[in-house]
Amino acid sequence: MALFPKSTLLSKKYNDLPGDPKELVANSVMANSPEVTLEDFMNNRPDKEYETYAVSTGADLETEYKAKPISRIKIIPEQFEMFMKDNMEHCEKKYYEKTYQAGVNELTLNLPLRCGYNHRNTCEYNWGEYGDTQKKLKLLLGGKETIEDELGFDYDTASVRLLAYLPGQILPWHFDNMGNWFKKNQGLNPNIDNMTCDLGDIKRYFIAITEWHWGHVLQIANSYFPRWKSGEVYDIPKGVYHLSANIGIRLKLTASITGVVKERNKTPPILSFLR
Amino acid sequence: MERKLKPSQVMSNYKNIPADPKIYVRDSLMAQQSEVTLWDFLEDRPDKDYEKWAHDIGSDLTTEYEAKPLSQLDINEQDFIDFMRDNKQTCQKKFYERRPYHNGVSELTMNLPMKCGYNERNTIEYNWGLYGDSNQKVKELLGSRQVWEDKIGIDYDTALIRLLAYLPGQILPWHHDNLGNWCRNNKDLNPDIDAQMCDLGPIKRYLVMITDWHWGHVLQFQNSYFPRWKKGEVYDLPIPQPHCSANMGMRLKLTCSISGAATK
Repeated sequence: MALFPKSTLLSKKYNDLPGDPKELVANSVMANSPEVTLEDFMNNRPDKEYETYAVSTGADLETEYKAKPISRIKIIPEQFEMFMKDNMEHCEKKYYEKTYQAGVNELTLNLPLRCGYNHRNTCEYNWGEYGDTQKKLKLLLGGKETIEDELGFDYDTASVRLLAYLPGQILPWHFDNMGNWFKKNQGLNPNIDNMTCDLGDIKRYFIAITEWHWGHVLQIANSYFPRWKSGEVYDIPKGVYHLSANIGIRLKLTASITGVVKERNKTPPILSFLR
Repeated sequence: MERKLKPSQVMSNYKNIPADPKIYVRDSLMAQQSEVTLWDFLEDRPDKDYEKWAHDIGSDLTTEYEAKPLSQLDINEQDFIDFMRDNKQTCQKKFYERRPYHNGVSELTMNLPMKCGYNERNTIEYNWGLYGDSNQKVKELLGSRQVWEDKIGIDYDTALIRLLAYLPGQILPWHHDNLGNWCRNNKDLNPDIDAQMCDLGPIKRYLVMITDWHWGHVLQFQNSYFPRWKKGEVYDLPIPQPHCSANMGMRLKLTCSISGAATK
């Protein structure tokens, strides 16, 4: 099957976020959609379209990905829990459906909802878009010393998200198109096909805030992530399909950093170790 | 990890199943529950009770399980799809909550999954094997008596089957199998679930894959993930080891569990 360049699918910029994060739940289509029953599924076979879309954008059933931490930073999970409690009003609670996305993707095509995903199994709480949470989260992760000196991101344009998944919640099969970051950094001429911009390579890193626990699953390509430790940092390879879920008992807290990794920013490992 | 709860205490003696399979949805407590929000979870910390129970049944964060198929059956996936379409009336649709026949000290009798956020839209299971003639029909779909004898190795006449259908977005949370329905149905075989023995031999739970593995089809057993399975593969699910599974992909996930006495 011919692969579509991502730039043709995602040429449109994301729309602006709603001014009030509560609008995402208040205006949810998913929350008002009826259950997809087994009979519906067998009659309509909505999986075929989702699968065709996935294959046409690079998913396959063979590719493996062996995830290894590229760094480990100091994290105090309790600080993040405190942050969440103190910043409820700036929390973006949303379901896996089209909100501000644009272009051709699984959300604008409404594929997950038609396959059975709903507002009670795709609920995500995140911070980083509203209020001053971006600034606060950067500091919680260690500020410029960690984000720029240790991990190599351009600090000012790096974008952090803190993600909380309760037991029973799933982030379905997708690849990251970093639409919000692209929208905010048009001045850097980002290119989604090769994931570069004027400053260097565009990257997304995954940071484990809480330790892995039963049922905390992250599948990248056709491989499962190892059981992670709090503070471990992993590269999410560009354009590669993945999914994650909390089918366990404890809360799953992770963070992502999206931005430009500039080689010259990286502290050599030995210096990082000594520091 | 020291096991504080024996399987017999978790399962106790199951009562008889309700006559009407529609009762599970119609009378569901879970379907009436309000959402557990993040703020509820942070305030109430319902995970602590669930985790304590999990430790009490022997869960830990270190034990691995390397799953390997015991045998391979020649099955036709479409036969099972046709069966499901033709046998809606014997389907048990349920959520992950206490059912009327449950007893004992289990995650369901204590309502632990629901308190942690599991609900009627993320734990839907459709299964066949308990109602009408579905047990016999699914047995036959898996193979002849000869196949059962040669490749499955579970006593055909007393085996209890469950054909399980999970739509995308549906989860079977952390639990261990206690074979309560099989033990109730086979009291005359003097089943001892703690020793996993009965008069015919060892009591086993096998899993037959009906569909090929696809993205997001996950089975975590102890602290290990099942490999990407092929349809027809038969796996042992050792009792009473904890596990969970989910369909967080896009294709339907179909599996079939077999409970019964090993014949080889």
